[in-house]
Amino acid sequence: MTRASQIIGIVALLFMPVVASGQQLPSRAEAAKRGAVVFAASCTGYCHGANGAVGGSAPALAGRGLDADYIDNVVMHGIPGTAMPGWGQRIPVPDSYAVIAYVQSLNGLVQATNVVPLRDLPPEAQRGSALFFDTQGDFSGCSNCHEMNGKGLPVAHPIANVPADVQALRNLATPKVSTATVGGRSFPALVVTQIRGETRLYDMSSLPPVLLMLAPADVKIANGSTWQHSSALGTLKDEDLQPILAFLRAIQQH
Amino acid sequence: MRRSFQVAIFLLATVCLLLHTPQARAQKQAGDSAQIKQGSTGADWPSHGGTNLAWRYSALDQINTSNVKNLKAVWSFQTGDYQNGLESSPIVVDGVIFISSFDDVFALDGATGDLLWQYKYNPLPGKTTGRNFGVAVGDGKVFLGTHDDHVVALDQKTGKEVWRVADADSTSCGRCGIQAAPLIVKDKVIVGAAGAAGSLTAYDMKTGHRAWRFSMIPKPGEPGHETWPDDDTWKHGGISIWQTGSFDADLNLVYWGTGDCCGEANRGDVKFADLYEDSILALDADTGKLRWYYQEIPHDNWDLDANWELLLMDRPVNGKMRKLVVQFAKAGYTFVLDRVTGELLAVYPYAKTNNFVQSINQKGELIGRLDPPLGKTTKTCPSEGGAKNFNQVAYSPRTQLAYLPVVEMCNDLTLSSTPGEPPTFVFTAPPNGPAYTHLDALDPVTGKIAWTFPYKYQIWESILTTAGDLMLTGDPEGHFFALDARNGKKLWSFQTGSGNHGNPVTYMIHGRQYIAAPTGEGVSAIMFNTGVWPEAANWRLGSTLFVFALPEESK
Repeated sequence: MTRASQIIGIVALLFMPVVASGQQLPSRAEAAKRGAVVFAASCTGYCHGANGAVGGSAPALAGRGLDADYIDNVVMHGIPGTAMPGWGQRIPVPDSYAVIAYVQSLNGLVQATNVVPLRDLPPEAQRGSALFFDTQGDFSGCSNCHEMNGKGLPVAHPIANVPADVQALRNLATPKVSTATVGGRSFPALVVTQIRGETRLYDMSSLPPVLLMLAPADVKIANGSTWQHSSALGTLKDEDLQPILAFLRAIQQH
Repeated sequence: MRRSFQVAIFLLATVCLLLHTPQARAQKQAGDSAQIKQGSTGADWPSHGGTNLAWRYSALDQINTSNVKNLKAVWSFQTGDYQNGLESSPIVVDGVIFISSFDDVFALDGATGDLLWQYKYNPLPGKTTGRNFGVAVGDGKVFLGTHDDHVVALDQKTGKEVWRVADADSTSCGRCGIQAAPLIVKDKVIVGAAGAAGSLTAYDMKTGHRAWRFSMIPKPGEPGHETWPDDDTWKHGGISIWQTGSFDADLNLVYWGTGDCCGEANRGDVKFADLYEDSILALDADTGKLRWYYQEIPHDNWDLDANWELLLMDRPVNGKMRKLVVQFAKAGYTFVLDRVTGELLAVYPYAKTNNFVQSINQKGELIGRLDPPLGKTTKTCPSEGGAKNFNQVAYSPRTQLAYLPVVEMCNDLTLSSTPGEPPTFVFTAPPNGPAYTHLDALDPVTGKIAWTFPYKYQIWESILTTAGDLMLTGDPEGHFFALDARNGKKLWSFQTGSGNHGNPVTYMIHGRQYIAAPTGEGVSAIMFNTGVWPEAANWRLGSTLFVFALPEESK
């Protein structure tokens, strides 16, 4: 077993019972919080910018759409041929996984905030929560693409602004969706990463979105697309979207 | 005699002789040779059940009853994951073995055991890896279903990810995940998921696009929903898929067995059949539309999923040739259906210790159900481990026999009187004596036993049978062994050092036949056995692929 997978194992073990019992996720959030401290001490200054933003000689890390595997690999093993060392052997295990959790939180993969218990939400937001999360795997909920309140799949970037009303939600602009052309086929695509000789993007032409791993030479990406958020709303009616928005607002206010 | 006449006599004699060889008889009785070809593996082991007919039968006969005594281990491979043993089936394509353990995939050189590539799946934050029964290979890709309910396509040559898609949001959905090996059907890969998202879903192998999905529980307004109580039990039920299905290319039908619903929780009146729990489904391969279903156990209170493998074979029933689907079900009964229509043609008990019903009649009706009264402990048989667990039977068209490992064990079952609360199962001996096991060679249609191989503990390794008239499997004491498929005589045995718990396969590279046996006892096998055999607590874990062949000079 590699060191990285041991750490994943530890992280998994730590989180498993918490997730299973549906309680708060302090360890997940706390790992990210602790990671911010380690990151500030060990990674910023000469190399990375403060809080993972632009600055220093190393790349910015916040909001880059880095995926969990990539962050885990790079923190543990570094990037050969660059100044980025592997930290797996250099810092204690709790520190390295805290940094992984922190950098993941900068990329929307870990909610750095504590999870709000359902009972603390107003009734309409509770109904919205039930609609937001796809509890039966029939691809009816928003959580197949959006992470919120510690659950869901992080396909899309974290929801930063909650649309004002149902109309705004239906007409939501999606500037991050581009048009990719692979092997003569063009389709709406959400680019995740373009690093290490690989382009990762979600093929949004059908749901659920499919994550594709491509050689950069095999894909052309153009800005903009014909994709519309309303096409992903499926059978959700206005009276469903209302409580979903109430849920998003309630979480944002916490 | 004139020469041409002599030749004619000789030819006639040869034909007569040929018709009397076991193989010719087999071909005459077991459908046409085209089907035997369809059901047999050759140099490759392309699919979880061998081929899509799920016989676990190989046409290779280099290793056979006369030389198996010379079989030697030629290499081994350790996965390093010991917790649940090595439960998966290797897939062999063009001399390369693809085997999964948890959510790891290894590609090995089939002749040397050298690691060609290794893939490690990183689950979602907060999710773990779990049991995995194997991968599927097609379209230049290796397909893995993951414990956190994703489907991953890897490049067959390099092990690099090509695409990945969520089968369900496992962070929101109760117990959702994939452990069964996927099934390749034409241009699609089909995965079966467990948990609240219990379903069969087909993905385009090239693009990863979802082609169709069949959810195990019909929603309000859909046919079958009326078999559920008028509350929201159906929402939380979850009918899981634990194993891999079969495919008939001529009929264009995919066959799959389904699990029981609701985590065996106390869930109300027995009059509710709760479709499609404990059923055999026939789905259109292109659309996923249900063609027919057959429910073995309506309202299963005993955890007797109808999930196990489905053998497709053409055999005479009552003198008439029929296209069959046969399941040696967890409940200790064999169900023989017409696979065109779903009509029940025969049902018979294969386990001797059976009291959850008094009988199942030839219409398939459960007679004398022993539904445990709520809150009262009741001894029911077979146990929730089944008269047979997930390890698969094998069927040889040469002997016309199926090879079936049987467990005679019960459990003390207590259904909670609180609705929705899970029951307790305590493994116990049968009412009239200690728990025991046997491996039977039997006619799959009539259940008539040709020979039986008695044993003490549960055989938890799948069976492999070959044109060399061998039947191979392993036991929890570490022996991987070969029997004569015709009479059950033990011909060879090898001590692997830990219990056997996976799916052995055979393949050929450069004219040399190999037998690959995943070995290593797992925690669950031990858990299921300590109740009746306390010494099972001492069984050692392991996870090693052993590969055997004849010495080069003697093959």
